[in-house]
Order: sequence, then C-alpha cells, then structure tokens
Amino acid sequence: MIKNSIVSTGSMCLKSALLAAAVLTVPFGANAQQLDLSVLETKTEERRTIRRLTATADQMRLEGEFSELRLALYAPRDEALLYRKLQVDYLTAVSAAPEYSNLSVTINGQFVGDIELTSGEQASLRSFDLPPGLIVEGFNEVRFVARHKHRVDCTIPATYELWTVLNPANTGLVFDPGADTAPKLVSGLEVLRAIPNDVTGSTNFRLVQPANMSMSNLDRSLAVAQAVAVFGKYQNPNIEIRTEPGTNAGMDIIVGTRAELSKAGYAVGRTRSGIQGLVLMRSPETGRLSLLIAADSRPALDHSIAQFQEALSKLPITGTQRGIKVFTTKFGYEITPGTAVSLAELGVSSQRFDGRLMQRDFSIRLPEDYFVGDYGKATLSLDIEALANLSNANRLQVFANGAALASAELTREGITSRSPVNIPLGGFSPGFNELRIEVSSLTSEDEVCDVSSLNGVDRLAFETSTSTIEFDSLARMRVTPSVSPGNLLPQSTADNRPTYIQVPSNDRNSLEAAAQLAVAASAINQIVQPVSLVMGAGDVGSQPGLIVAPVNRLSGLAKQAYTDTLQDTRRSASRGHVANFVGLETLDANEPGLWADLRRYANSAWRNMGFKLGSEFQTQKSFKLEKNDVLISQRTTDLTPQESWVAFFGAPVKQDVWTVVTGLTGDDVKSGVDTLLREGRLAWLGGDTSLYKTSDNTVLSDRFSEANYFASLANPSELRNSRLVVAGVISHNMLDFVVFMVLFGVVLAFSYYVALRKSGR
Amino acid sequence: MLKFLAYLFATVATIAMFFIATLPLSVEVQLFLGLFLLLAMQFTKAIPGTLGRVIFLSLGGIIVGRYVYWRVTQTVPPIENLADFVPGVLLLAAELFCILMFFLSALIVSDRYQRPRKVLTRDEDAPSVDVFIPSYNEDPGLVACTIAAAKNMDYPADKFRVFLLDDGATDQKLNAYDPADAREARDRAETLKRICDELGATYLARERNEHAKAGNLNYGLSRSEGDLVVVFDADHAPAREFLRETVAYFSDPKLFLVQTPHFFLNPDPVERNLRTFNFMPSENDMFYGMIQKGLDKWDATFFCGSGAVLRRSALNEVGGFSGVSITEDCETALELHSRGWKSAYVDRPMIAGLQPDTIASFIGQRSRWCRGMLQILLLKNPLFKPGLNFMQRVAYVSSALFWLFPFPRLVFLLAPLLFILFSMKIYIASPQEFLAYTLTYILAVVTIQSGLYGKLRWPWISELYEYIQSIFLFPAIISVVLNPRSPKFNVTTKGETLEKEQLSVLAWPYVVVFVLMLATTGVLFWRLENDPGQTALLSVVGIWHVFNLIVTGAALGAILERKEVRTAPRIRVQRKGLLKLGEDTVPVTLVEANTNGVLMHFDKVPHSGNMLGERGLLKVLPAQKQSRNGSTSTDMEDFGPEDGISVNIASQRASSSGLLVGAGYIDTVAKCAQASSDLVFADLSIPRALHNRKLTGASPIGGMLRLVRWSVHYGIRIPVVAFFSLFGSAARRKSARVENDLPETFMTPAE
Amino acid sequence: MLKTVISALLAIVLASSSAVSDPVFGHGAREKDALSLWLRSAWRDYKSRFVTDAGAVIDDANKGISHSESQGYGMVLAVAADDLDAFQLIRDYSFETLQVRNDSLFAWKVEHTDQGPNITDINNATDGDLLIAWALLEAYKRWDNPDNLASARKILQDVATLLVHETSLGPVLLPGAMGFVEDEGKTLTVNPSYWVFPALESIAQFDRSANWAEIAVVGEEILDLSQRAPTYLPPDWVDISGFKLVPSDKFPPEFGYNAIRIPLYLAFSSNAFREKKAADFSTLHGFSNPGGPAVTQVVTGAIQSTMSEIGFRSIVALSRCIDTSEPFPTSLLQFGSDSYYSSTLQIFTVLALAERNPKCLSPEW
Repeated sequence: MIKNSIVSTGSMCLKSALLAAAVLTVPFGANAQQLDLSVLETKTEERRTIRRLTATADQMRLEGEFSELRLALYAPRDEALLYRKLQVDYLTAVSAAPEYSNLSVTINGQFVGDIELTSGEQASLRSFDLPPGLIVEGFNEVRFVARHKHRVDCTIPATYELWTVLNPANTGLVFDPGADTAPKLVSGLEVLRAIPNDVTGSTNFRLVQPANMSMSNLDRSLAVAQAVAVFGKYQNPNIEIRTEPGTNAGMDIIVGTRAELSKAGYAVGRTRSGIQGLVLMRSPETGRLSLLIAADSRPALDHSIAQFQEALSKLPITGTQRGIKVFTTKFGYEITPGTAVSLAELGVSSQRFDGRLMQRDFSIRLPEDYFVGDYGKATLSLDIEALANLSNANRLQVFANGAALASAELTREGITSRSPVNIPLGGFSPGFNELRIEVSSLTSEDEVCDVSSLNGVDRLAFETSTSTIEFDSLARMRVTPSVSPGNLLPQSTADNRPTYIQVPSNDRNSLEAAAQLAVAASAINQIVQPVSLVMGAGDVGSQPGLIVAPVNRLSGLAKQAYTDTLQDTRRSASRGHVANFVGLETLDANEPGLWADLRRYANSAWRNMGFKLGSEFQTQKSFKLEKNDVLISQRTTDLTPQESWVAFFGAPVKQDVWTVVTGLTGDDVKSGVDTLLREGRLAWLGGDTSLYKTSDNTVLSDRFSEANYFASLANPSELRNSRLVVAGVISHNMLDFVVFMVLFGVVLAFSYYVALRKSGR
Repeated sequence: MLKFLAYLFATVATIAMFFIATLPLSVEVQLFLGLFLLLAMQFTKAIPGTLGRVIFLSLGGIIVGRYVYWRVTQTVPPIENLADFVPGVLLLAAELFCILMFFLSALIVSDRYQRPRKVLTRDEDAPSVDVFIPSYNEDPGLVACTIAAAKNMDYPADKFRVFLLDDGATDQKLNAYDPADAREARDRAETLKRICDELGATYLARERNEHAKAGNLNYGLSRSEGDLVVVFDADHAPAREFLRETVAYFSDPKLFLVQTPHFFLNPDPVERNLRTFNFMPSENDMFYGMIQKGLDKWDATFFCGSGAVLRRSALNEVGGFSGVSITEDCETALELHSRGWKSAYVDRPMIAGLQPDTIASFIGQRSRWCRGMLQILLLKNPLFKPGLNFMQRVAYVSSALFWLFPFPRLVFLLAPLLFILFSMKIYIASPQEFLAYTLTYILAVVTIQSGLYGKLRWPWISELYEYIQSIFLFPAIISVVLNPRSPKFNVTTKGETLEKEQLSVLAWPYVVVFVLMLATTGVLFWRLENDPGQTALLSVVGIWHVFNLIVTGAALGAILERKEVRTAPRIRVQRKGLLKLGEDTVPVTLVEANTNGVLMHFDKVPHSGNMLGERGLLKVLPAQKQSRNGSTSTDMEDFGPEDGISVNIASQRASSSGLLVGAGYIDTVAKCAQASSDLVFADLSIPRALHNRKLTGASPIGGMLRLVRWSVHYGIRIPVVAFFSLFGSAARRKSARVENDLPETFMTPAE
Repeated sequence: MLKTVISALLAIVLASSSAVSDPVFGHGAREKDALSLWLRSAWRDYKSRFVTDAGAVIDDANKGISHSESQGYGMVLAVAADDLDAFQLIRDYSFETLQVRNDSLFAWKVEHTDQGPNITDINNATDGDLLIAWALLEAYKRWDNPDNLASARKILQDVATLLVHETSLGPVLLPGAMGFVEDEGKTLTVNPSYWVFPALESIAQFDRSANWAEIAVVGEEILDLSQRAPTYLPPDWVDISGFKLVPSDKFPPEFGYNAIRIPLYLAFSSNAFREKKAADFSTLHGFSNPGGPAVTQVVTGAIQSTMSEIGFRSIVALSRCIDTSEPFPTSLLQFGSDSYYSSTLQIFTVLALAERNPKCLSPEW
C-alpha cells in the first residue's frame, strides 16, 4: 500500500535512496548546509563544515583574571586526520585591557597558540592551525585558558567584570569534509560519542514517528535515545518528534517492526553492525547520524534494543589519556568519603598567578543518597605559597553551588596544608556539586593602580598536586520526595516495570519536554531508566510517574503539588525554628527601620563567623510562576508510622511517587526545560519543589511536604549511619533539639535527686 | 528495693544522656545548646532546695560532659609530631583532673545536711571530759589565753579537766645538745608550769618527741581517763558554750567525733597583704561552710585536728591517734570510719584561732597538710580500704586528691606560653569550635562555682590562692610521691610580729614567673601585629594568657608582707567595768579588747585630767548578771587586787561621745589570760555576726576587675621593690622600734 | 507525625467500604445506544443458544459439557448486558451443581446426562473461579446485593490460600488445586491465560486476602519470559522450576485456544502498559495470520491450524485497533452462528472496543 502522504523533498530523496541502495541513506538537500559560516568574509571555494564542541552555555564562560575551561572532543576515525583548524568565536567584556588579556588553547597538553582578546560589542572569529597528528581518534582534551587584566581598576570587585564567552554556534573544529556528501554506512558504534551539536549548543535527537506508526514505538525510540545519551554523556539533549528525519547537526532515531518501516518507506537489508536489524549512517557533511533498528515483531525489537544497550555499555573509552579523564569526570569527580583526593586529580592545574583575585572552579560528585546535614565537615588543605609580600587583609573563600561556605585568612606565607579549612557539610547537595575557591592576593602597592606595572609579577604559586580535599563520614539516607536528578524519574513500585510519563495527548511541547527530561536525567545519572509514554486524553496526573503538562491540564495529586506552591502554606519540617524565633529568618532585604538593620547586622555577623542559620534552603521566596518559568515538584504517598520507621532502618518500602513538571502553557514548559538544560541547571534542583526562573537563570528550591527517610540499601541499619542522619536532622531544627536536651537534663537531675535522697543520711 | 530502682533509673538516664550529648552535631548547634543550657542554669539557680541544686548541677554536667567528649576526641594533636602530642596530652590530663574534681565536689555538696542543734541542759548525766592543749613552741601568753578560755567553759567544774601537753619541754628538749635551746626550753617550761598552777590546769610533758603531735596526744590519753577527749590547738581558744553545744550528740553510742568549724580572728597572710579581710569571705569559709556539711551528709566528716570532741573508747579501739602520716587527725578519722564509727559536724564556730602571720609560715602549714594528705592517699589508700561505704571512699579520695591541684595549675600557666613562644599546636580547635565548646564550658564552671559557693568564695580567688600555693607545693608533692614516708612534722609558728613592710622570703619565684609572663605578653602582641594568619587562634590563646598574667600579678600583692604591729587581733566587745585610778573608781564601758590590752570609753572625764602612764585596777563585771537583769550595779563596792587586773594607761584620745582610753595588762600572764579569755573568747557572737556579714556574693566581672586592679598595682610596685631590695638590701638594715601604742590603730569594722 | 496518622486512618476507612469509584464492567458499551442495541441482541441470542433453563452454560463445541469457566463467562456477560434474572439463574445453578468441593471453589467440569448434571472431575479451574468471583463483585457493584460480595470474598479467600503459590518470580496462580505441582513444589505448570487482568484489577479493590495487584504484575513477568525468539508467541502452558521458565512438556508447546485470550485480557486492563502489550501482539507472526490467528508451534513457528471463527479474528482486529487505531471491520459484528467460545470472545472484544478505542468502530457505532 503505497502511502501517499505529503512528503517533503528531504524524505522523498530518502526513500529513493533507500530503494536504490537497499540501505538507508540520509538526504542531503541543497539547503542542508545552513552552517553559520556566513560571517566569514571570503567565500573560499573548498567546502567547509564545523564540528562544534559539546558544553552547556555556562561552561563556555571564562570568568575572572585567570580562567580555565577543559572540554572533551570525540574525533571519529575518518575525520580525525581531516581536522586542521580550531575556530573560536568569542565575545570579551568591555572592561578587559586588550594588550594584557589573551586566550590560549592547548590540545592534549600541547600548546596550540594564543590570541589577544579584543573586547568589543560584536563577537570576533579567530582560528588556530592544528599540527597534523595532534588530534587522535577518540577523546581529545581541548583546554582554553583566558587571562584578563582590567583596563583601569585594580580592586577585587573589578575582577568580576572580566569575562569571555565562547559562542557554541561557531566554536569548533573546521575542516573540508571532501566532495562526496552521500551518507555513509558506519560499522562501529563508537561514533555515537561524536554526535555534533546544533547551533544552540544542544544535541538534537529526532525521534522519527511516521504518521500511522504505533505510539508504543515512541517508547522504544526514547529508550534508544536514553542509551545514546548515557553513552555520550549528552546532558543537553533537544528532542524532536517528527514524521521525517532531520537534516542539520544531530541524530535521527527510527525504530519499528519491519512491516511498519517498509510501509513508511524504510527498507532495511542485511546489516554489518553485528546487532540484529540495526543500521547506523553518518552524513560526512553535517556529521548527522541516523540510527535505524528494525525487527520482526515488537518483542524482537525490544530484544534488539536491549542488545544495542548492552553493546554500548561494553565499548571502552578510547582517546588520549587527558581526553578520557575530562570525559569521565564530565559530571564531577566521584568522591568516596574518608579518602583525600588531590585537586590536580579533580582537574585543577597548578599555576603561578599574578592577578589580584585567583578564582578556580572544579566539580565533584557526592553519592546520590548523601543526606544533607551539618553533622560533619569536609577538610580542604591548600598549598598556596605567597611569592610577593602580600598585605595582611587577604582571604580565601570557598563556595559550593554558588553559596559561600567557609573562609580563612591568608598568612604572610600564604596558606599551608598544615592549617586546613573546614567546610560545613550542610552546603553540599547529593550528586553534582560545583565548588569554587577564591583567593585574594592584594599587596601594599595595589592602592595606587597602575595597570602596566602589575603585569608579570607572580604573587601566588598554587600547587594543586599537594592540595587535597577530604570528606569525612557522609550519612547515606535517601530523602523523598526530592527533585534532584537521581530522583526525578520515580521508580515504579513494581520492580522492572517502566516509569509512566503522562503527557496531555494533543500537546507536542509537553511530550518533547518530557522526553528531554528523561534523556537528560539518564545522561546525568548514567543509567537508563525504562519509561513508557501515556497520552492522557483529558487531564493528566491520575497515575504515579512523571507528569509533564501545562498548569490547566493537571489533575489529582499532581494538581495539588502545584497548588501547594501558591498558598504559601510552607511549613517544611526541616526549617530551623530558632531563626524564625529570633526573627533573623523572616528578614527581607528592603525592610526599613533600625530594628531590621540590627537584625540584618546580627545575621551577617553570625554568618561570617561561619555559622549558617536556618534550614537547608536559604531565604524565603515566593514561588510565582511567570512566563517561560518551569516548576518541578514531587509528591509521594505518605508512609504509615511503622512504615516510616522500617524505612528509616533499611527495609525496602514501596511508595507511589508523582513528579510534576509544569508551566503556564505547553510552550513555557518546553522553553523552560530547554533553557534549564542549556544552562546546565538540572543538577541544581533540590528539595521537593524547585522553580527555575529563566529571567535570572536561578533555581529556587524548598520543601513543602513532610520528608520521608529511606535508609539506602548500601547501609540499611548501620547504627553509625543512623546516628549521622539523626544528627543531620537535628542540625536543621535546633530549637526543638535544644529544648529536648534541657527537658532531658531535668529528668536526669530528678533521677539523681531521687538516688541522692535514698542514700547517705 | 526502691533504692535499687532509683540507682537503675539514674544509670539508664546517664547512658542515654551520653548517647545524645555525643551525637556528631555541627558547631552551630553545639553553640546554641551551650548557650541555652547556660540560660536554663540561671533560672534553675533560683529554685530553692536540693532538687533545684541537682538540676542546676546536671545541666552544668551536660555542658562539661560534652566539652570532655569533644576535647578528648577532636583536639588532641596527632601522634606523629611528638613535639605537639606530649604537651597536648599533659594539658588534657590537667583538664581532666580538674573536671574529675568538679564532678566529685559537685557530688559531695549536692545535698548538704543541716544537723539539728542539740544542747546539754541537765548537768548530772554530763560525761567526764578531758581537754588536751598540745603546745610546742607557742608564746606562753597565747597558751595561757587558751588555757584560761578552756577553764572558763560552761560545764560542771568537776566533770572536766584541762591538760597542757607541752612538747616543747620534753626531757629530750630539756637536755638538748645545744645549751641555749636547753636553757630556753627550761625557762618556757617554768613559765608554763606556773601558768597551769595559777589557772588550775595540769601540765604534762613526755620524755621523747616521737610521732610529733600524735605521740603527744597519745601521751595525754595515757595520763587521763575522761569519757570524751577534746583537742584544742595552742592558739585555738574555745568559747564558753563549746562543751554544752557538742557533748549532747554523744548520746548516740556509735558516734566517735563531733567537729566544729575553725574560726579565725585575724586575716590570713594573703588577706592581710591584699587587705581583703574586712569585706571578702576568707579561704576556709568554703570548706567549713559548705564542704563539711556535704561530708556530714555522707557520714564522712573531716577531723581537722582541733576544735573537736572524740570518744575515748573509739580512740582506744585503734590505739589512740595514729602517727604514720603527718596529718594524724585525718588518718585517725579514716581508721575509725572504716570500723563503722559515725561522725558529726556542728556548723557553729565556737573556737577563735590565729592564722599564720607570714606567707612563709602559711605556705609551710599548707605544704604540711598537702604532704600529709598525699601520704594518706598513697599509704592508707582510702579507695580500697575495707569497711568504708562508697561515698566515704569518694569523700576521702576527693579530699586527698584536691591537694594535687598544683599540677594542673602550673600546666595551665605554661600551656599558652608554648603556643605563643614556640607556636606548638597543642590544642587543635577552630575559633568557632573554641567559642562553641570551650567558652561555654568555662562559663558553665564559673556559673556553677558562683551557684554553689557564691557566698563563700568569690570568683577567681580560688585561682589566686591555688597559684600562690602551687609554686611551692609542687616540689613538696614530688618529694612525697618519691618517698611517701620521708616528710617530718614542722609546726606552724603563730603570733610572729613583722616590723616593716618587706618582701616575703619566698618572693623570688613569684617575681620571676611574673616577669616571664610579662615577656610572653610582649611576644604575644608583637605576633598579633605581624603574623596575620594566626590572629584567630592567637587571640584565643592570648585571652587565656592574659588571665594567667593577671593572676600572677595579683599574687605578687600577696607576697609583700604588710607591717603588722598588732601581735594579737582586736575584737569589739560590749562589757561594763570599774576602773580604780589612785583612789577614785570610775564606771567604764569596754569597747575593744585583745589578749594584751583593752580600749575603754569614759562617759564623764575624770577630774585628774591626763592619765598617761598611770597604773590602775580594772574590774570587769561578769556578762551573765548584766544580761539577765540588765541593770548595772551602780554601787561601787570596793574590790581588791584579787578580782581586778592591774593595767597601765597607754593612750588617751577624745572621741565624739567622750574619752577613749587604751590600757595594757601588766599583771601576771595567768591574770591577763583570764581577763582576755573572759573578754575576748567567752562570747564569740559579735565576731561571728561580723564574719557572717562578709559572706556576700560578688559578680565574676567585679572579681575580675578587682584582680586586674591588684595585678596592675602590684605588678608595677613589687618588681621595683624586689629590684631595689636585691641591691639596696645592705643599706636599710636598721630595725624599727616596736611601740606598744595600742589605741591609735584599731580595726574599723566595715560599715 | 499527626498528618501521617490521620491519612493512615483515612486509608483504612476507604479500603473497607466498596470502592464506588470504578464503573460497572461493560458500561462503555451500554452508554452508546447503537452498541447497547447490538449488545442486547447478541446477549439474547447467546442466552437462547447456550444458557439452559436450569442456568447451565453449554459449551456446544466441547461435547455439550459445562465448566466453571463457561458459567463465569455467562455471569460476567449477564452483568454486562444488565440482565439480573439470567445472572441469578446462572449463579444459582453454578453454586448448586459445581460447588461440590469441601471448599468454596467450583468443580471445573460437569456433563449433562438425561438423569441430570454429573460432575466428572472435582478438581477446580482457577480462571473459572476468578471469573465467577469477578462477576459476583460486578453484580454487587451493579445491584448492591451484599450476598454477592460475601460469597465472592469466600471464593477469593480459598483461591488465595489454595491456589496462590510463592515462586522465585513472586506469587503465582496455580491452574488447579491438584495436579499442577511436582516434586514437592519445585516445578509448577501454569497457564498464562488464567491471569484474567480485568478481574484481578477489580478484585484488588475489594479483597485483601492476597496481594492481587502483585499477582497481576507477576502474570505480566511470566508473559514476558514466556515470549521467546523467534515467534515471541506465549505458549498455552509453561513450566516454572526455580528460575527456569520453559514451555510445558506436559502439553503441546503451542500458542493455541488458551493463549488467544491473553491479548483480549491485556486490552481490557486499566493499566496503560498492559494495553500496549496487547498492541504489540498485532505484530507477531502467527497471531496476525491472514484469515484468523493460527495455532502455532512457539519454538519452530510452524502453523498447525487457523482459528477462523469470528471471535478469534475479532481479537486480532482489536489488537490492531489499539496499535495503530486501524478501523474494526464491521463484518466481525455478525453474531449468532459461531460456537459458544467464539461468541463469548466476540462479545468481550466488542465490550473492549467500546471501553478502549471507540473511534476504531465506524462513526455511526
């Protein structure tokens, strides 16, 4: 039955190519090549294409006087030899002095070149020539180092005005793909690590769903997308569900039974990929990949997909030793409590610094079930030697996920590892954590600001191989409900049953946003969580699972999760009452009056003594949903008292979980999730409700419902862990504990009194 | 059964408390917990009675317990760098010792026993009493007063006899090797024999001087047969009602001891040198006012050697006073307690004694007590002695262990020096942790001390006294520990006179320590200036060091011996008397008296005008008649020399309400003793009232300010004096004349 | 803590009362007037042909015997067709003749002789018992007669104690009380088509004697494990021993007249995922055989015979309709000529269509 649906030119070539070569090919229409090379002045005759570097937007930002950015670039075997030129499209802050600010590029440890950062309004495009043989097949480390000097001002606040942003659209390796532009069959699956980014910097996955194909195939193509995302660590996916394959940089996934596919025009012959019914094509021009999996029947299809996932997980990580390291620690270095790890290991290179404020960033990964609480500390011992004679007002500050957690004074000789800095554990969150160290290095001469004289005199020598960070004991206890990435896709109560993703049936935006979240969560958690899409005709939210819908299509517990945020009935159990009692907590910035100033002063005095008042989440916030914002909230069925006791001590207790992702309209949900992933903020979600505000790119988190505590299976009823957890809970609501202790003291006294009265005269 | 349940409930509660207090909590929670508990303690301080006190102590105990857990687990330096580890452990041991003493004393005084007063009224069944007054080298006048006061006690005359056990005139002494000593001993024996005959006491002197005071008392025991034995030191004159108030308790057959508090008329050397006798409770008030009452609750009253009544049959059971250690009193009591005998403490000062006069003798006395108690701890081992119940063991061990205080005191003195001078990190803590744990611990200890002993011991004074003693007691402890049997009994000299204000002979070590501390403070401020990295920790250790500096500075004041003209302390009295000058007799009211003379007030000026240098006869009207009928007998019947005392007018001064005349006794020693015992010692109610007025609380800040004032004042003056005394000592050798002008300096009681 | 206590109390109260939330079985069809007309006429014809005046439901293709399964189907369809008298008639007959065991289960087979019904095999059939219990619950929901609920609970109590057996996969339904367990419970023979999913889902809301929801999930897992390459068709009977699950050696390893009901029951389930599994059946070779689903040998894929009657072909059409919403051929709506088994399945299929994908039926339906 020849299907006579309307076919765009792209797919027509596709089918004809298919029939001709009995092998799937990808169309390459004339307009396939809308690369953004228009900015190049001279149109050279040889063809040029770009493989963009994969990174989220905030990772392409180089801030402060010295900033380092490491990216992993996977070069497929055939293209590795062709890469000749690295193209950089950057925009530098106006306040950076051109003659003293430069950007240097090192690939696989070998210096490639550096350019002067000319600041200005419009972006400027520069390119570096790569010596042959530098890029090897597999992962290569591309390291950008930006050095800025302020034009006028020598003070520390000035250093915050220095930044350079790389535009993901035009930053990448430019090369001549050669004349033949027909998509070629690819045998090895490693190339799935080289899915090129699209213009926005995200990885485009197009799930091809021909018109009358069964919706259950969408589950399977989503499973394939998840497997690929885990394999290539694509944490910024952009999912499209269309009837025709795409053309620009990205990947197509077509999955179905042979009957369905042939009806839709895709014929699959004998394949060379080793997996029954799998064909992988690659267009040399745009680098776009097309993956097709066909089988006789649906169960056979499931079997092939399982084989595909198995094959991917077995593939080794190849490439240069540096490249592999950057790739493996892409989502933060895995921390095991009790062992000290050197900062060099975490990817911070040793350095001699001549500016005024040294800022170094690194990311770590704590266990998913790390229980947040102030019961312990992480010790950071740094080896920073002062070369010039520093004035005595220099400080070291440590930030975690953007919040200042600890500070210490710099002695005359800098900081030695003999006097470590203690960082309270309460500041960290489960899974991904971004840490930043800021060390000021002012000398007495800095008062008179003469930009030219400052250059070249080294002030600090930061030796990262001997600087270490060590976490002592971490309490392991899963807290539900929680919207952190590890917990975003709720497990279904029956084991090895998929999580139901419920979206309104006629709302494609919500569907694509849901798929995006599922794929991104799998990439970050590095596990494929089986999902099953359920199209709800009316309102969605009746069954547990992940519910993605605009506000007006929510029902049941999902709707209640949204309405909670409106009436500001926040009474999260873990909030410290003392702060409210003393009035420090309910303080907002613009409250007038002397008493408010006093409390504000007391609050700040208290804070810079290293004491953090109040609960897990910082300040009071209103959860108003505005344009383009996305609200992610989770609710669970309540445990009975015995169940919560059993859960606390380790026996597995099943719990229905609803995760709601909602926005004002379907478009808001889609654009909100897009920005959330592009800015890499998925890892910042916390508590049981998080609101991502695209306007100022911030995540507001809080806990609305009663928390349940599940001893993680790693250490079910180990007494030591339970003690740590109890300590963690206590260190949040201090007043209750303190009142309890006084009352217990009185009981103790009464027992002594009775004993005393009974003895002696 | 109920008792067992109570103990079980207490232990379970303690274990639970330990579990909660050692939860790993953030510094912030610990600080809040500490502050909140301190706040709660202020409120529970107000709850009267034992329950309130126990709650108060338990809350304090939580803070201290939490501090100990943190201190032991997290602040000890790693064992790798031994240079930090060894001093660190020493400091820790010192702190733990102090905390152990805190818990023991808290346990003992937590429930004081207010013993009901029992007075002997019927004379016929009064037991026979032998009063022993052992003396060695005291001044005969002093001994005479004590004998006179003893004879003057209100008790059936035939039922009690007074014995003077003169160890200064034993045969060994009389024919001592050095002829001068022998002659002096013989003269002293003569005067004492004469005094005993005049006052009606029995003079005994044994052959040899073995076993010092214990041997002397045992000799007395062998030569007497009364049911009860009373011991008074040579300088402890008893009040009239002493026997009436104590003997009645012996109705309980198993009672072997009734101990009464020691009460002093003159300031101890530290009080005198720092001039605090009038307004500050003295050092022993804490022991007799609180600790003895606590010990009494546990039937472990401390036998203090004097002012005590013992049962002879009990003493015979253990073969009299045991003389192994040089503190024979505590040793005997320990022996008797272990045999099941019971003791009692009467909290009513009924003897008036003399404090040692100079710092040297004060230190000598304390070192004897210290070495004696350590001997008992090492040789008699109260911890495992059979027969004692648990609390008695605790009482004896804690009384003995108390004397180890010099060890922690000196360690606390030196610890900050190590960090400031050699920057050795012996106390690993961040400023926040120091704030949350150590500061709350110190505040808790200060609150508890002011809560328990607020009225009996002013804040920071115990630190001052302990520091003064520990400089010399430390070597004493070392000697006892090395050879427990070596120490010999040296009697504390009482009643010395000091001509002029000069540095005590023991001054040098204190000056050296003070200079050392001053130097370190200089180093401290220099480092604070230009070693920015360590400012936080330096400031914390700096505070600790400055406190030590202040204590050493104040201690300097104590070692500057004040001019002490008065050999005997003056007491205010209200008595009527008749003075016969030449031929006319004048009624006088006696305002003040001491053992050498009296100050009189003339209502109307006698006709003869200036009386300086004249001799007269003074008859003092007995107090009883006067108080009973209240009227003064105006009939001036004539009285002969036998019932008056000849006096010589030494000074004369007009006062607002008439003429004030000072007269010194020039009669025989016995007559003087009789007069003064009647005037001074018979009725101690006025000095007792004066003394009780001193027992007021003082705030820690006020105490600290006073300490600072002393340390600044003496800190500047003493080193200068010491410096000059080092060079100018030869030039100023002349001795100042001793005038006996009684009246011009007399104590003005604190208004 | 207070909040958790209150919610716990609430949950208990809710469970005991009848969950009135779910509508009675077959309401979809009854609401659409055209369909309800068809249902009523089909039921009338079904009753006349297969239900005797005494209330026995005759399986004409099986030598005219009756069994607990046919009685159960009769009762369920009676409730669906809202025919109280027929329901009571079949129910009373079932209780009187088939409930002869010492427990409240039903003997599975009865032969009708001129002297009256004769129980030839006293062993029970678990799917028959489940169907009867389900019918009683639906009747209770429809006509609020508490006896129905009470007797349903009694049946389920015995099913739970006698027929639910723990295995490595979880609780499993034994096909019958005797004869399906060998060497002390180590190997079991089970029939995947005895998991009547709609019945288990509705029972789970009324009865606590076993964890019926978990039994349904284990049924799904057994179904997954029994679908193997190359045909991926589930056999009628499987053997479970320890962790191993293979087509039973005591029965021919075929996808036959038993297993054909599996996609029908899956289509009826309220659980979206089970519904999708029904759709997956439409792609299986043998099942989507032109001319009707074929009895196929699951290992070799050889087709033994085709099940050409309308009932079976309508199940295939149902699966296609759920998969790609392919329109349901009206030819499959004729009624009145097929055997008992095919007619029963045909009515069930139409009820499923009305429930799940009414749009597959052409608009006028």
